[in-house]
Amino acid sequence: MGREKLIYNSLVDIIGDDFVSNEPEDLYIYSCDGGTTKPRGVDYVVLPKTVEEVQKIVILANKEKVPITPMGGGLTLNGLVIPVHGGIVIDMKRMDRIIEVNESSRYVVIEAGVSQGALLSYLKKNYPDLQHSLPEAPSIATVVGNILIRGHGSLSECGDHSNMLNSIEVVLPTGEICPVGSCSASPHWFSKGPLPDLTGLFIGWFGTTGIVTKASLRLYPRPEKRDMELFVTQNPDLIPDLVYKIVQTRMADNIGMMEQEKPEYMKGYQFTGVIISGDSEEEMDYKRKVLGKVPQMCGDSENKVTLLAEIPPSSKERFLEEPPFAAVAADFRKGGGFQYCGIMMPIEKVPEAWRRGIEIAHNNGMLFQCANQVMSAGHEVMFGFNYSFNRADEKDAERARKAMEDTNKLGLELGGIPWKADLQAQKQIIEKMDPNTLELMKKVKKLLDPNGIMNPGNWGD
Amino acid sequence: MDIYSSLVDIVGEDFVSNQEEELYIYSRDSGAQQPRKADYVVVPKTVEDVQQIVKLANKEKVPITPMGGGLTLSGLAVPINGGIVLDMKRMDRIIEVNEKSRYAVLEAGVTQGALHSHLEKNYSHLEHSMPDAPPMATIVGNVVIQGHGHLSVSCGINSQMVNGMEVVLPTGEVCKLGSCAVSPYWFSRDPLPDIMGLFIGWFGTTGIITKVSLQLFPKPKFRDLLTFASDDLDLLPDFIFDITQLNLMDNLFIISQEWPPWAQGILYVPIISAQDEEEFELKIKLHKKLLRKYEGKITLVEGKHAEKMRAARLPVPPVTLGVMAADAKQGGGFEYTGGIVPIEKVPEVSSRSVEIAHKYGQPYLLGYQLLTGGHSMMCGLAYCLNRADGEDVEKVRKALDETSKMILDVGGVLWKAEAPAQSLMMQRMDPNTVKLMKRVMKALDPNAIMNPGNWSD
Repeated sequence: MGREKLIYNSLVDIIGDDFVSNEPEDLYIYSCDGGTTKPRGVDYVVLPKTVEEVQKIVILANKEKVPITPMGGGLTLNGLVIPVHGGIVIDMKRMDRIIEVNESSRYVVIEAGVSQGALLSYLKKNYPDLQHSLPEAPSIATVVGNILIRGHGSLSECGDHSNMLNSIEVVLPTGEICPVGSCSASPHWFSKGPLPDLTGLFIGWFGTTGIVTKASLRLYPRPEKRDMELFVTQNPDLIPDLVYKIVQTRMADNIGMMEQEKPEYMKGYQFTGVIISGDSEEEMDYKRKVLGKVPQMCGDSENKVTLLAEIPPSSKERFLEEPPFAAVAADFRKGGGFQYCGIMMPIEKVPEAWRRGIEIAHNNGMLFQCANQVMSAGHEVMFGFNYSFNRADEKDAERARKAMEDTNKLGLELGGIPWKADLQAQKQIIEKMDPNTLELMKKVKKLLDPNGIMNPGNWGD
Repeated sequence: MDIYSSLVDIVGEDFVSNQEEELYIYSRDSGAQQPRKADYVVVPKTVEDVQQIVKLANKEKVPITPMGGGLTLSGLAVPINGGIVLDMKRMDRIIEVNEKSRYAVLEAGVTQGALHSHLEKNYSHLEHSMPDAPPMATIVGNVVIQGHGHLSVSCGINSQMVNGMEVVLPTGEVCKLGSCAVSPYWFSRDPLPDIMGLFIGWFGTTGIITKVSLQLFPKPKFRDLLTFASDDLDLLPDFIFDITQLNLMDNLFIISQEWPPWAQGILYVPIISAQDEEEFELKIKLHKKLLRKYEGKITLVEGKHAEKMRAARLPVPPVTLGVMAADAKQGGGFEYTGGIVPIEKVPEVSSRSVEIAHKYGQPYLLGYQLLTGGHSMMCGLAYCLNRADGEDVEKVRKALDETSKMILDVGGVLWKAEAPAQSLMMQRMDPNTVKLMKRVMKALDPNAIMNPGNWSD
């Protein structure tokens, strides 16, 4: 029997033939994503149901030295779960149990395939007083996938989503099932510490160090009321100070900034949106009042910050919806391609990023559009440079790719770091990285994954 | 050349010692652990000094124990197998404060007090989360033990507030982690592979942190506290849930102690802050309103007891609990078991702690602090001891041991655990997790020179 047939049969032995495929029509969707990454070949896709199945697949992959790429929603737009060297894609979507909600200690234990939408509706139905931080992503994005790429969301004031992690269960690249965090020494998944922090070994590594099969995520109070206030400026230089002053009030749940050149009437304006929440009108009114005083603390007679007295209901709805429907402008070029470079940067770098982002878009024949998010109580900004393109037009896709590369370069030059970096951006990051840090990264990978089977091609190999 | 002379070559003879009288203070801390002997103490000034010392230690296979303030009370910076104590206190530069992105880059010897006054003087609208510890505790030491502070409810625990680090690996390489690994700015822990975890919670067994970037937060203009009293332990999880749902406080202390008598029930002490008076009044009002739901069962404490609580718990850092109960014992010793537990386990922890204290003839002294917006509780179960009375020390040691076991029995985890308590946890730990820990330690520290005896079963 040929090696390929042997692997296929072994996979069928593990999970049954309904959940393994090596057929081109099934593999097709696993070989590309919604971004500009060129399709890459996949040899097998498997959909395990249990952690033991994941374990057996990993043991098989070690024996056969075949690469494994674990996949959540597959929505990074940066090809992070499209295998670089073929092999097996492990699609986690069938592992979709919400195992436990602990109300008093506010956490939920879920399997890796649970989607943002599933958790959102489960909580709304059963624990209406609690919520999780919801990323600005389609509802089918997985909760675990988002944690592992260090995503952010509706409660980013509390930090990025990896900061909200209590405990995980991981299948190591060598096949051991390993609980990490309080669940390693207790029946309760309530905390990450105070043990030696092993969770970091699996966060931000894009599946190169193991497969997370369960996670305990913190939940937060769900307020009765939410609203948005919108500040407008016509000079990005005002933004760092504006954001600083807003954060200083401590009234915001979430702060985002945006600009877009289409429709025409929006061009040249920067919008800074602040989500506020509370349990009573009194609390909401107070928060509105405090934010209302912010414009007079910023800018000067030439450059003013204005608080919009009224936000069109349709716009407001778009931002307050869960998840927010922000990608509404994504398809104005038609053709369904949408990609963005998210650059994490210090807040004071935002004005320069803004100006040079406009140049990059125009130099590449694209329109400028950005959607930025302030992270963890004003400590950094995710600057999202958005590029739409016509998927059917390879030239257009190529322009978007070029704009992405230029943007990542700009981001790094400004002292920022590309978020959920694609292969090109990972390379750009590594070129700037302290060589000892890179060595340590490689040492960690080698230690955990001696056969180099885990999503190889990512992070420096 | 002998080890002492090599150390002198590295840092100069003023900053090395192998003299008994100096080693004495490095051989113990003020907790109930037995003294353990240090062979050398070195006080480096630069990261290059640290690097050279680490290389020497590898060559000579001599243990190194890095030390910050040395205030864990669980002997974490007292060497188990002798060797070199690396006292970081001279590395005390506050290198940079970035105001707009709200962080401070500092060396490992910078104390809580030093950063606090630097900020008060130069950046009076920013603050860092100050632990409930003496001001000479170091920032880095507190991060490494996953400490918490006066902003732990509103902003998280202190190890979450780290943006970046510089580390000397056990094999001598200097390594930058976080955004500073690729950028001149120390603004973020994202979005790279998270290597920082390898140095948090490991008690110096994986490397020596020489710099960190710590997040700073808006400093409020007004701060005050409320004191609520209750006798009904079973109401605690519900009340904590309700008060945290309000999402309006910075910190929450819970106190229950046999002495003074008015503190014998359960006292809830939320710390509330605001940028102006109106905000402040609104927050106080919303907290008081909550009491309606608990009518008669949880009440507002006013008058002189409220004033006493204000005097003890409002300062940053607060007056330690032991001081309030200090009349219970003379002799200057104080130690506690810190257990981090799910909130619903707190009533059981409280009643069992009282039993243990009484069994050993001790007054109970319980001080809890809520972590991260209502996700877990740090239970400080404390005992005062007369340091001069061997029998008393022994009794307290037994009580601490039993308390640790109780915490683990209810499904909690021990905070900044002393070596024997670390072993207790590892015995209950999943064997694959223990194996992974050991693999990590072995890979980073092949000669096992870093604070050996910790995190070993």
